[in-house]
Amino acid sequence: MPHSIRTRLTMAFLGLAVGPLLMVGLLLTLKAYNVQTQAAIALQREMAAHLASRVQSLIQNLENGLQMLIRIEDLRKLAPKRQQLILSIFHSRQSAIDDLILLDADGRIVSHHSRLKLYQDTPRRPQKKLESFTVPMSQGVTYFGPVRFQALSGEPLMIMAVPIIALDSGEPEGVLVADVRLKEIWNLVASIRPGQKGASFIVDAGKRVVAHSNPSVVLRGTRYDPPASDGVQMGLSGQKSVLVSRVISFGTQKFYILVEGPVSEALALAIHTVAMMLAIVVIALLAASSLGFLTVRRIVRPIEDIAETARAINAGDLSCRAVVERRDELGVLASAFNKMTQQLETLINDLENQVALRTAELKASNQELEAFAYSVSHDLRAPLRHIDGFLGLLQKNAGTSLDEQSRHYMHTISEAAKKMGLLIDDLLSFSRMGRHAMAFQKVDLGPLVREVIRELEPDAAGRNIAWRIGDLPAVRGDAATLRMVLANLVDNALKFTRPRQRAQIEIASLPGQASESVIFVRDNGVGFDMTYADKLFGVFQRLHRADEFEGTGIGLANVRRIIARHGGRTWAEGAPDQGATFFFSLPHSPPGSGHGNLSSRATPGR
Amino acid sequence: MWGIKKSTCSSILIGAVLLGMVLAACDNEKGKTYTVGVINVVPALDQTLAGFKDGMTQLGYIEGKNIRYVYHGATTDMSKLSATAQTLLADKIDLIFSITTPATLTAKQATDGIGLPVVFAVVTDPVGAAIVNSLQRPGANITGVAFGIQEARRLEWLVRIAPNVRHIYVPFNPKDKSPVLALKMVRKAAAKLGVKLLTREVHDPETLNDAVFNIPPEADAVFLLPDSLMATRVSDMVATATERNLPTSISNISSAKMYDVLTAFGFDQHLYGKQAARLADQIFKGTRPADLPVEIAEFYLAINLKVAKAIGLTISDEILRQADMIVR
Repeated sequence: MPHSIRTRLTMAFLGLAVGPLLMVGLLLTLKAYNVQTQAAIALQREMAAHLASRVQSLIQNLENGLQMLIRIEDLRKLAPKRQQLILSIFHSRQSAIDDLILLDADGRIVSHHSRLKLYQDTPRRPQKKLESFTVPMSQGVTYFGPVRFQALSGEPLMIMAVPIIALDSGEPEGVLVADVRLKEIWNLVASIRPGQKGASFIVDAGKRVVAHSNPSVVLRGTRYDPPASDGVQMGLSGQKSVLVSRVISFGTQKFYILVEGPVSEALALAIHTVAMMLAIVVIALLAASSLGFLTVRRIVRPIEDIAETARAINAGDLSCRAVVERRDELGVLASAFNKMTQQLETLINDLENQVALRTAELKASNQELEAFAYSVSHDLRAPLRHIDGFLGLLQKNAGTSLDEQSRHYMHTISEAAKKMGLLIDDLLSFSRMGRHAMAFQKVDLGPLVREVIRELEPDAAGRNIAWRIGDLPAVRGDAATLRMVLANLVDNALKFTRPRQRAQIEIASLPGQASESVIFVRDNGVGFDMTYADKLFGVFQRLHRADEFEGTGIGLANVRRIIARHGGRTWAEGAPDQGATFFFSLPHSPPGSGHGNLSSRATPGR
Repeated sequence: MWGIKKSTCSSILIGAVLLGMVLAACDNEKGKTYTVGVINVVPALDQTLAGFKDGMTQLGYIEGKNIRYVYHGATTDMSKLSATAQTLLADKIDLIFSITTPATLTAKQATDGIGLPVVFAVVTDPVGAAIVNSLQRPGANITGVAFGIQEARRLEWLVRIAPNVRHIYVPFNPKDKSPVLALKMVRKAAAKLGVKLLTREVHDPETLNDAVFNIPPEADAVFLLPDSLMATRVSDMVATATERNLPTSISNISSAKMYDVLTAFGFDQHLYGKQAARLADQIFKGTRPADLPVEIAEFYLAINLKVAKAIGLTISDEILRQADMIVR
């Protein structure tokens, strides 16, 4: 249940426990990160400055060495052999110089000393057009050439050309060119590196690495574009690093000194802080989970018990009770709930008892009433037969001797006795109807209606009657009693249309009834006043005089009783001289038919 | 009921995983002990191994603590080189340090297809010997430190130290690529310097003995190439030459002192080994040998004045001033 109290309480617990911790952790981490980054940048800037100063010193020392070589003795004025020897000795002591070349004022090579090449293999071409000659000669300053890489070894070289200034004229009279092995810088670079995994390196103007703590990086021709500003960025190592750079220049040659410290090392403290925070958050999460679980269990379990009990009661189990094991508000709630359930159970039990009692009383009363009606009709029949029998004997024996008035009295007594006999028969049939065993089956009302009409045809002989029989459904019911219903209603229609020149009788069903069929019998007879509609279906109730329309008034009472036993309803609509319509409904599944239950509803009557 | 149990279980599980991650992050990688197998064919080059070990120590690999060396001494019998390599492989080594060209070629053959890294030292021409594709891009599981590009200059130094030399005796093993490739450079230099090389091939102990003890009569100097077979008899060779007052030259400055060789222009074994150690360190840190360019050793000039005196050779101060090492 996503919106259950348990889930929401658990989430609230976790949120309260972990949320503030995370916030504090986040702030601390950010602060630690910033402080550490600034500290690492400051430290690495110092390193870069130190490395820059050492590299500049190394190059400066080389330049000073060349200057000294020129000045100790006036190099240009020495005899060639002496010149060669001095240059050779100087070169052998300078492992940083690959080739050492002395050029005269015309750019011709006076002397060439190589670390690895044979003297015979050194170039002899004049270098008058090379910048390494023209710049020192024209400007009187040391020239630094762009970095080159040896084809075989991949090691970087840089030309350094120092002008030889004539002491008297101050004019350049030659150039001392040294091809400097930048490999000498490698050791400086290797000695300055932040932490265990950091590195320092130097990149030339062409973005190529010329020195690195790991020489392999230089030898394999690595390129790197120095960042515009110091800070955390992707380093040459391919890792996120704290990177600082510093620019140094030799002549027109620009070099970037870079110091790179991997974030994992440079920001170790910040990372440690994050790790610690993470650990604390994890522990807090575990503690909050456990605490939350226990607390939620204590709070939610009783509520869940009550909810479970309510569900059981709702399902009909009134004996179910919530567990009361606490003395707090939840205990009070459970007790109150149990008390309420107890009262409800008692109330329902009382009601059920009362209903059962009333039903039994009603059943007994009905049985008594039926037995009474049956016995009354039986018991009345005997004296009536006596009256009728003795009246017959009296008429036979003293008929001729009696005067006209006495014979009229006797005739009236005889008619009254016959009528009483009819009333007793009707009462008996009504009483039997209540005990008649219903045999539910499929009954097609169409043929049944036609059969009834055929049987009543003698009563209609000589009359002008327009019969209209609509679609009638097949229903489930007791064929014998349904036949009586139809016979009663059609007989009534015939009877009450007698004053009409042209009688119209319609028997049909109402369309579109979902759970029941509604059949009606309509006539254009004398009709009735709707004020007395409720009396129509009562026993021996009549709205017309007996001399107008014969009958005892038991027919419609029987109709209602039969339809009621089918679970249906009966009602009537009409107006004086406007005709009448009698309706009855039959449920598709009548009670006791084995096809479901349908309670009868209140019915309007005549 | 199950809902809360499930969420609690999930929380505990996530917590445990996070805690594990934190602990793992706090606990730096435990030091692994590396095993380096060594193949060498010249006992005199053991100093290179000493230099390698010193270099590794400086880089934080302490022998007996986090690094172990498997070395059963130089395999002077070339026919047993393969067996030596197989013995090393059986020892679950992490890297082979090979000294000399034959040892490196054996290591290359033994590691072919298994990718075990090899760092070589004292190899004259790794490209010419088909050990690597190029110096800048070795291309396979092998890298190292080369020398040999100084051989022409070494001949020039011999001629400058002993200017009267005209016929130079050069004994070598034609089956060893190292002296063969060095000889190509030396031949060109000899032509330019106007000296004649008297070469003699050695194949077996017999021809080796003959080469050592029967220096051609017209020879007025001995030039020893980087040759594993000849290296085993440097002492005898130098003794024979000195007896005949002949100047000698070798490419390894340590030998100038050790074997009384007149002059050497080439590498320092100890520094050479240290330079190679840096490459091994890079490999242990995860760089592929194929991405580690072959480096070139630094060269130095050594002169043994004792030998000069013994053979009656006067060396000018101008020359001595240019020497990096003088043995007196």
